[in-house]
Amino acid sequence: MADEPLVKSWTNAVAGLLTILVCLFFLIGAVSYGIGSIARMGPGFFPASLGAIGLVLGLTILVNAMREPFRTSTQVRFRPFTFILVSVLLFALVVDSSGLIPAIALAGFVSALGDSRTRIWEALALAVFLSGGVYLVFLQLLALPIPAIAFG
Amino acid sequence: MDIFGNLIDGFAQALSLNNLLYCFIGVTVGTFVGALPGIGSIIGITVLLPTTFYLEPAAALVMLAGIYYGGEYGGSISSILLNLPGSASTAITCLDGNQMTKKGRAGVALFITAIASFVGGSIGILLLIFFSPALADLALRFGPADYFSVMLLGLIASATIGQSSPVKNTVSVVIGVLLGLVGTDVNTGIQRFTFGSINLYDGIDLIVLAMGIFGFAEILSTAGSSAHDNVRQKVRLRDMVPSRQDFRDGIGPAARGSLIGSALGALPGTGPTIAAFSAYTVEKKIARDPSRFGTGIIEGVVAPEASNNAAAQTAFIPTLTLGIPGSATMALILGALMIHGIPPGPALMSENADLFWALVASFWIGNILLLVLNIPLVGLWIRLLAIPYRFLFPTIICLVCAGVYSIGLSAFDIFMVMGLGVLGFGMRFAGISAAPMLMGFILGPLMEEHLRRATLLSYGDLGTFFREPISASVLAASALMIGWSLWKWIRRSG
Repeated sequence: MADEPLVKSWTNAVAGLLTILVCLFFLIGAVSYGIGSIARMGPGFFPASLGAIGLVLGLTILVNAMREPFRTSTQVRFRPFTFILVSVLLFALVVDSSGLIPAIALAGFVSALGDSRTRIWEALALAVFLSGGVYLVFLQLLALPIPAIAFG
Repeated sequence: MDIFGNLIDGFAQALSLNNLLYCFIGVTVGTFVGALPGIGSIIGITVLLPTTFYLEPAAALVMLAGIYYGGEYGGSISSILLNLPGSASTAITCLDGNQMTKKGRAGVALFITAIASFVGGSIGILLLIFFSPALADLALRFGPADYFSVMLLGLIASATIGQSSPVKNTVSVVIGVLLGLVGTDVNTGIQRFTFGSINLYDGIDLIVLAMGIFGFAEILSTAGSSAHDNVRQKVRLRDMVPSRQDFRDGIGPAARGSLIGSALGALPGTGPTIAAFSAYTVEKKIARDPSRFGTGIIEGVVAPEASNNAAAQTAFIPTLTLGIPGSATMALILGALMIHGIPPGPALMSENADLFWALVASFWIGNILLLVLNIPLVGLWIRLLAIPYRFLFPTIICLVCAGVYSIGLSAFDIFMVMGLGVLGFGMRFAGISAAPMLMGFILGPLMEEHLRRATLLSYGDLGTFFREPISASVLAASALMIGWSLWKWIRRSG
């Protein structure tokens, strides 16, 4: 636990830095769209003001990184994190060419394996169950115009 | 037309077979997601929002609202039985509710909680019925400056009230507003922050954003943990009936809790969570023997549960009459209205009066359905709570995928959800809450609109915001709120 405060202030510092970068991006973009005047505000006025406010807030977080009490409501678990991202990525890559049902089955199977306690056959069963459920709700009940299975 | 005539028409609509069905689906889903620890009504609403595209607006709103207040009922089940809050607003119920379970009085706690929730909800609905028309009349006199100021107050309240750092919450609001501005500027037709991508010309979809920062980010941070694995409990109907003494102990706290909750629910920034905490604190303060709280007494369960349900209903007052949501969930409901082509604002009560009254009537029907779902059928939820989380999270992932894809049949939206989900996860990790971001996303573009209109009308004189009486008093309240939270923040970190 000795390095805990270091991690904490680091996370705060990174959060502050990222805030500054994002707001700077919006600020620069907004200025290029034209600020206008107060009576006739250009498309850039509002985003530029917000970018500026965000910049100040980001600096405050960065400066206070060491003092600000740090709370996090989560922790990183690499295995589920990776499996879930991959499962959604697979869904996005497969759904256009192969249809909804194979994509759901794939996403359900891969994401289920993100929990190391889930066995292969459990993940398979869940994938079958989920494809059936999605087929019923989205394609039969809501009648969405998506092919269930496509070839090509 | 008078309120009662309107209300009767509302009931006639809400009792149609179709609306009744969607009300039932809504409160059932609400109880379920509410009861599951870690998954709240906001995720339930987000995931089901795409499925409402093809429904009548009234049916869609009836269902989504049902998820919201149903979640308040369901949340208390896991608080009482498992000592795990099903949703944030029922966290305080754990204190006495779980102690009652340990004493073997789980059934009584569940029964009296459902009754208290019903009482709180009903009082909230009554206030909604009687205050909304007057407030909407007042709001019809709002000018653009007033709107801007009231929305600003909403954003400031969402950033400064609550537990996490006000600076980080404000960052969340600012990023939300900026994301809300992505897309075509309505006044000039200029593309803002679209990187020339045609997918972003219409802006970021509300559902995509909410799925990313709530649904997907939530799964990313909870999947693989064993904290959600639950133990089995058994509750029989005949153990549930409270004694006459239990009822007598509960009446006062239920009444006070309902009033506190109603007031806090209607204010911006304070929702069911703060309402529940406040009601509990008040009961403890006025009790003859405060040390009994936390040992499993009826008062400690009834007060917060009446309060959070009252707040869940009165939260609809500003959302429906002013078009200004007081919380992230209400922002989603507002978004759902817009998706169905209903412009939110004071005109809603006159132009879509039948929708408003049908919705209000459905709240009551929903609360009665919830009473049935939570007393005779409580055993069903206890059994559903036993489903391991490792089977639930892939289910939610699949629902998110199918739901987002169904919006525009575009894989681009899925990639957006992934990006926003990772962003949401990063924000969580850095201690930045996502709810203010959603508020900013919804209110930001509206605020820009009103700001431009107000300054155009005043020929560039910003003094207009301080001369209009409504706007001026709202700005004063915002300034007070900022001052108070700055003072608190400096004292804590200094």
